[in-house]
Amino acid sequence: MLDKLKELRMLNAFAKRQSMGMQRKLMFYWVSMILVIFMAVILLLFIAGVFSRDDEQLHEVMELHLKNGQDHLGNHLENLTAEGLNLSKELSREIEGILMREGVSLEEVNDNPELLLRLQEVMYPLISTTLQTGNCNGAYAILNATINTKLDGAEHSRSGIHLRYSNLSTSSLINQTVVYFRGIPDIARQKDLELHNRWNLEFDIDQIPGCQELMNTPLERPAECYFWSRRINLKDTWESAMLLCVPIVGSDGTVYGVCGVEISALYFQFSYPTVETQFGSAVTVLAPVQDNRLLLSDGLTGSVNGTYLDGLETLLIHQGRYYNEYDTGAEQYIGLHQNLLISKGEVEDDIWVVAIMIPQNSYTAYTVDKQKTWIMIALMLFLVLLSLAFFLTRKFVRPITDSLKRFQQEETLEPGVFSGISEVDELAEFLNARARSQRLEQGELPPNIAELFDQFIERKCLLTEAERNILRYYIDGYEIADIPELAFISMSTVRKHNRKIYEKLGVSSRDELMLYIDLIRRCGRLQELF
Amino acid sequence: MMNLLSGHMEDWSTPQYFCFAIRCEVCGEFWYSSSIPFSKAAQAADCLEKKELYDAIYQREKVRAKLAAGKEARELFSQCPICGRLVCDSCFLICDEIDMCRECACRMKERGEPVMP
Repeated sequence: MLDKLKELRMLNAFAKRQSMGMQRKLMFYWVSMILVIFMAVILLLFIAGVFSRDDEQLHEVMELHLKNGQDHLGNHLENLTAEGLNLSKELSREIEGILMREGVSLEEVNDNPELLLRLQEVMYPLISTTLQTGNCNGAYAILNATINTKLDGAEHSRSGIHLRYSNLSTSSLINQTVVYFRGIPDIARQKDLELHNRWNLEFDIDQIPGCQELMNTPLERPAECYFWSRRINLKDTWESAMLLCVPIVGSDGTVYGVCGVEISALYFQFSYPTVETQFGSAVTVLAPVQDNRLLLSDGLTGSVNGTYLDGLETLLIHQGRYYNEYDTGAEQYIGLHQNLLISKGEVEDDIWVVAIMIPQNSYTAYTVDKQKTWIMIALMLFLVLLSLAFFLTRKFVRPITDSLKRFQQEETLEPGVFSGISEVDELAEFLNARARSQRLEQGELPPNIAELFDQFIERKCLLTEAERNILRYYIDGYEIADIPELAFISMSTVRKHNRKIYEKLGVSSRDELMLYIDLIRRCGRLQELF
Repeated sequence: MMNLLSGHMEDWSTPQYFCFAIRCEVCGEFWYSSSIPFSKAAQAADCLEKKELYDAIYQREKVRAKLAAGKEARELFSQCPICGRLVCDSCFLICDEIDMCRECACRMKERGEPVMP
């Protein structure tokens, strides 16, 4: 690390020693400044949340869909629960009436096919009505009695009726065909119903978790304890469904059985199609959460068009700021979920949630598109700024470089030509003055000065020998006061000579005379004065 | 030049004043330097017992006065380069070739203009 730091310092020192063009250096400063400003703008935009706007937007969209889904599904399940409770109440009254008329208890219904038939005959219209009025694809009622207690598996076989719609499709949800899935076939014949191709006489209540416990628990009224089962496979079929289990409670608290409605996975898919958003297809899910995992296999999944969900996955939930991530292991989904209370009592205590999910890939594709746009805009802005920097640098440096070029070509800058930069003009003036001075030192004189010198030297011939003698003292550097001593003449004589000398050489003072002498000396023409 | 002038100076000093004279060797006119009073003239007259002291001061001031007179004379006297005589500005001519005294110019028939007409 220290070695690298040393290398960097050496590199920096080397760079400092290198001579760099003014334009390149200025450009470097400009680019540095642009980069700093650019970074500051990016940082500000980042702080302002411009780059997380997609996440916020997604959050808003998801929240809206979740609220809609929750309201819709909540109402749906509440209505079905109400239907189930109503069915339970009606069934309870009918069953209790028959049992009272017959003077038997529910246990005595076991092994009594005639009584079971009579009970199912009164149960059928209620179940059928519930099926037709409820927003579901099946309705059922199970009596806590079996037709033959001596058969194998009689302990988990219970008599009842289960009516279902057979030809579910999105186009014919209203006009459905009812099939007889469970129950005594005499009723199907009476009502002219088609038996399901996987028809069974009785229910296998082991298939419905919690059903047995519900039938064995005495209750005062059905609303005390009911639940929606987890998704179960309907025996001998490829279909799966969630069942609302409401106890049929007699006036004495005896539970005669369980009734409710069915929502199959297929029906749920038709009822809850995917919602197309700008971020991708949103899927509605009703599923239990256990150990921070969303169990799709135990719940229902809406239409999965546009996603790779098959409704059987277990999704690990990662809570996020704007949305949650649901990881199947192979696929990732993003969305939101909200708890939904669908059961009551102690039988079922799972936490159920409504979730809206979209594939992360589609959201990533959307954001990548937007990011590409941002990057393109940023790059274009950067290029524009670079071009501007280049243009300004060039404009700034050009007069300087032009001036330097003219100096290099031994040209004198014209006095009337200005670069527009005061320092450069001052430098040019200074260099001009120095160049003139150098020329003088080299013996070169401006044409007018040379003429003056020539005239001065020519006038020297007008001096007398005595005056020339005095001039020579001046040339040798003596002062006026020194001359009487040197020439043995009076000061008045010296002054008189001076006046003559000034007059003849065309100067007005001794200072001017000395300036001429000095300049002529510098030009190397002093000998011409002797 | 100062030595030449000193050599030609005549002492015209009194106990109260210092004064020197130079005679032009051409016209014979005397030039007198400005009188400089002796600073202790009054004391010297009153206090005769310190005569030696005042004499010493007198001599010192006289040397200074002579030097000043030389400087004063330097303004007015030149040495003729031909005859070597010390002449005043009235007798010294500025000629074309070389400056000289009036007599030398007359003898050599050189024309000239006196420094002080």
